[in-house]
Amino acid sequence: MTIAGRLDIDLTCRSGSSASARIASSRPRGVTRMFHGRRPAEVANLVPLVFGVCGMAQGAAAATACERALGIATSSETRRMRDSLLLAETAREHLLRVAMDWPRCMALATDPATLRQVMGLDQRFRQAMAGSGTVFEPGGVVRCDVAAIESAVADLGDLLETVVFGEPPDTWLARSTLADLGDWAHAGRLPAQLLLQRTLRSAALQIGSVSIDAVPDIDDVDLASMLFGENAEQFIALPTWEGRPRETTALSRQARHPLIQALGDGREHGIGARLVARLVELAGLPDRMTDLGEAGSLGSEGDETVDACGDGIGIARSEAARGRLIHGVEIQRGLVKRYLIVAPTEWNFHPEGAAARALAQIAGSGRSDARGLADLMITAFDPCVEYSLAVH
Amino acid sequence: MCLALPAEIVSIDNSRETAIVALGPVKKEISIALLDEVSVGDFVLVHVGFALHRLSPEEADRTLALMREAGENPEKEFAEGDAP
Repeated sequence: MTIAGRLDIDLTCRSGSSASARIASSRPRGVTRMFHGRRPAEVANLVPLVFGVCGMAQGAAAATACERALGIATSSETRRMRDSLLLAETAREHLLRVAMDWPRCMALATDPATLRQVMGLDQRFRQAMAGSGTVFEPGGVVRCDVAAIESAVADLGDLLETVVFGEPPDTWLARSTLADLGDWAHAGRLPAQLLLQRTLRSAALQIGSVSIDAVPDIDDVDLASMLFGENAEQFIALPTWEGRPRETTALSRQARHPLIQALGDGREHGIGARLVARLVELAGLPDRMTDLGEAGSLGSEGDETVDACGDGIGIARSEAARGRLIHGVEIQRGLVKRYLIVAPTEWNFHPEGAAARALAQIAGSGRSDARGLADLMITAFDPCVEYSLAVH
Repeated sequence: MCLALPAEIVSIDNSRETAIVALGPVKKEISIALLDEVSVGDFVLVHVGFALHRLSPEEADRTLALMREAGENPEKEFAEGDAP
């Protein structure tokens, strides 16, 4: 076992019910014990360093969880900065999937200049957060460079038009039917258009269809009882809610968009909906970031009671690119006593969860391109660790 | 949960956009396609065979020290990780 762990995914392709998809995770338990015995401010600043892939989502959840455990209110400006960083990170991660992973799934070369543009824009957002060194300090008060953020948001819109949509993101987002989507896919040769063309051509839109059973809005007190209760280890490694594995992905977040509804068959959604959900989320990010600047906060964490759990326990969530991230901390005598994280990969790649069911459906489809579709499906779910795929 | 390890760049192959990075005694080749400018001696955060960000030597030291204090072995982890 390694610190980061990995997913080993094994597909047995057969017709009908003997097809299967097995997911084995070597994701370690208890990595967060490295934070035990440390001061909350130190932990909140270490979390984004250690979990650097989605460091902003992790940092925001860590800082908020510590604030709640300590009963400290978060200033609206600080919350806005954390939310801005979170959305910028979501844009970067979605863009990397579209510009780097999607071409790989089509055996096409990636464009290094595009990848660097994506990373460069992410860096600009970070630099615009003047004093961002303290943005994850519990109770920290920070100021951002509003003009620099507005300029970066405008450039994000331009980048999306150039490398993803071939038209302004707002225009793309107004598309609402399968015919609209097909017109767009066939209107150009950007990676997202090519992938949709191929998916349409191979009649694969509905492949891997499963119903969306989203992680609900779980009350802080209920979450605390799971994270700090007797079965905490089980919940963190193999989370379920009300006895069922749940999903937390771009698809579960964007399920109400007309394009996603058009792509679904009732509550069932296949690979097409998962690919398009990422695009829907991506297209909406510039406006969400602008709204954030005007409204002051995403409102995702709201103004709920800061110490809802009491007893030095704080719970926080971040809607990270890959899904909802949950942090729980217990602080006693000014030091972190317990620190726990439930990452979206644990929900989505639960052995009986959404990814496993979607992959089993592919395994039983009888299609000759099952391996490629499985790889694309895994990329659509987007685990935050390495994975291997074996197809028999 | 999205763990990435810090490593130091010891050589760069610009034609292939790759670099050899070192973490303690362990060296491996990674892609630097995501970063605009990197130099030998820079510290980068490595995830699934890609350099994601530059970070300061102090940040790298701090992260590795934290992992070691927690009983982890980042060098072993680094050696076992896949190439891009």
